[in-house]
Amino acid sequence: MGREGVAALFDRLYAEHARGVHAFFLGRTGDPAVADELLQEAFLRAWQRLADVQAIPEERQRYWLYRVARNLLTDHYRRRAARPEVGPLDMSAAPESGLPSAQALDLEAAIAHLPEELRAVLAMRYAGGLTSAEIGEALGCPAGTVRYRLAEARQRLAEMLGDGRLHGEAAYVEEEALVHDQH
Amino acid sequence: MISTEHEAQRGNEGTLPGLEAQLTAWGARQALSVERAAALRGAILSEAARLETAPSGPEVAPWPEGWWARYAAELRLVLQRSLNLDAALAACRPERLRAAVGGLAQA
Repeated sequence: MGREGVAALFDRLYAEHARGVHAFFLGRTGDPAVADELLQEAFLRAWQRLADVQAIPEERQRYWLYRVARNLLTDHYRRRAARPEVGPLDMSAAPESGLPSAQALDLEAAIAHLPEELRAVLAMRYAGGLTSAEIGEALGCPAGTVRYRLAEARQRLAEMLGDGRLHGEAAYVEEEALVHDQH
Repeated sequence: MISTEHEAQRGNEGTLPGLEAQLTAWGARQALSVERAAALRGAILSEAARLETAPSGPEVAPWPEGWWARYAAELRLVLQRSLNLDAALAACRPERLRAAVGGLAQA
């Protein structure tokens, strides 16, 4: 692959997936700075293995990239386990977050209390802008599973935020997701 | 499979008006901005270029005074005992001595 081909492939991968991969890391770690760092590592690895990436069918390249991301995350947790805990999750520390309202802070606190796998799909959906099918492709699971996790995340958020009206609607979305899975 | 349009429509139609709107706003705040993405891309490519031009293999710093003689003597002793280069290298703990000898062996 020529130099221009390498650059073009990298540019396409980055343009298509940087936001989603960042959201994945953000959702899993809850730390914007760590998400930035891991994003750089993931795409550096992609750059170093572009010849391999090119040989992968385009529709599988997303899965390849997220597999790299998952491996990096595992390495990150191993490194973190070897160090003292530095503090709780802080989903409000994004540099571009501005000054969120009290309502937004409540939501961020609730999101920080979600289990990682639910927080990850939530971040990939809302911060990454990915559909359930795309999240499923990235994580190697059916889109129906992603929809179920999204519904579960919404329901838990509604419960934590203590809004009965939202609670009922979240349950409705979960049922709707299950109906979609059956079709 | 639900299409992107269907999912967006479901959110916009108000299935979960309060929470959905809050989540959308949260996602917008958390999302990687175009400017940040461009800055990170630049950093990635800089690091890739640095790695491509960096000398391969472990970096070997200049020997501190006295080290070479001490470890050369140790290496000679192990070689005399075993006549086994692998064992001799394994016995030499400092990484750079092993790297240096490994480099000589490949040369």
